Amino acid sequence: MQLVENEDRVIRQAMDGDERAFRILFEAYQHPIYNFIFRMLGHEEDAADATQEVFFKVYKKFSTLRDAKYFSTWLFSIAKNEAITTARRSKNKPQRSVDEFVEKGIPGGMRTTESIDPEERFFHQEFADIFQRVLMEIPEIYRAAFVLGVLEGLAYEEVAQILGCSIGNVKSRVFRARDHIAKRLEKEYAIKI
Amino acid sequence: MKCKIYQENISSMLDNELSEVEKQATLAHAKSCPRCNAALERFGFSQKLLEKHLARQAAPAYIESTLFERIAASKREKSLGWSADSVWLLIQQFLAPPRTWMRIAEVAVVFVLAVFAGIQLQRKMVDKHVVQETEITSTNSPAKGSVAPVNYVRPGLSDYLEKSTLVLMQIQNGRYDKEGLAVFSEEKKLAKELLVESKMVSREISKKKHKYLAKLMNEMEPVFIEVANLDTQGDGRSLEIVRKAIKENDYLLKLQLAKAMD
Repeated sequence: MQLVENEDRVIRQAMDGDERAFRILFEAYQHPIYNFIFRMLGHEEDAADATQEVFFKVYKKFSTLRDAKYFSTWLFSIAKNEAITTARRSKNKPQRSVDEFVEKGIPGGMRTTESIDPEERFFHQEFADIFQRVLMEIPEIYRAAFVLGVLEGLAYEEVAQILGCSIGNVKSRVFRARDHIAKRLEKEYAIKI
Repeated sequence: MKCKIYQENISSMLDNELSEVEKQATLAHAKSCPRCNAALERFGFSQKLLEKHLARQAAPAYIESTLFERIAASKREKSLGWSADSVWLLIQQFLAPPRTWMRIAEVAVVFVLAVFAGIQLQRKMVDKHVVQETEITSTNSPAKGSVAPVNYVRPGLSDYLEKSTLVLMQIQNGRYDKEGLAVFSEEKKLAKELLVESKMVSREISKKKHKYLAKLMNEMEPVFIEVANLDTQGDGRSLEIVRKAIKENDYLLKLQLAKAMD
């Protein structure tokens, strides 16, 4: 995954302590990392805290990165570990319900589609909430593979490096997650195939 | 191939993880298999829902400001002294150095420390075991004219003085065989033992700060070396030299004084 122009050079500058280079990387990767952690935790505040912690650790440990080409894998590995740690710490926090979305409006920072139609926007919000609830029903290891491989679009090879498993395992985990999500969405939306 | 494998392939196909050949084979199978066809439609539909209605969650804006404030604070802490984060980072870098030269330097330092520790340990072991290498057994009734071997455990200062006195007395008085030749085999052996034991005893003396005894031991050392090198059947000239040294320096009297001081 490469989100920055001349990313290798920027990463090497950041490894040497260039704060401006680090800021460029942060701006490029903050949304994918936050999205990944949010999908794992289902809680915005926890996801925001964990994202900040991830980048702080990256800043502190940048000199320990062996090669610039491993940056995104390394970053997502730290994010995965941070998500697991945060999930263990806050096991009992409830997820937000659809009602909360309706009362409080769109949560800060949530980007939906470009539609200005209120009904369509509400549908997007509702779908996002239902999808997140369904996602939280899946075991963590399947969820992580699905979010990285499907939602973030990472190659299975990269996902395997992040999760520390084989490509075959990634394929199997993504399939199981997808199968569960498809069946549940089918039920939620009463779509008969 | 079983349907489960084909369905996994359908999932991978949606993520562009199949080769063209695998893709065609999977699609061909799905056309003829109702279960796999249902899976293909189900997966395809949910994928479209995700693409149309699910956007990536954007990170809240406050993360950036909070993060960089925290970074600035840690820099200030670092300029003042050690922080918990920096100490932990140092420990991590020590346990898993990021650069090859750091790893080599770490191995070299550990090796040097290990060699130094090994040398120190070996010295202590040698001191402890040097006595055990010269162990002799005791007899109940020593033969007439012979020096009684000492029941050897660990040479203390008093044992050393006692043995030294015996050796010098026998040298002074002499033992002779049937033909009248002086015989000093026992004395030679004991003199060699005394030379070895002197190292351990000198440590005991230095601990007790007996300067007189330390000086006496140094003076007697050449005498014991001479005794140890005497011919078994008597060497007239060497024997006379040793006897003269014992008499002129009053070693026997000095040894008596040393025993009294101990």
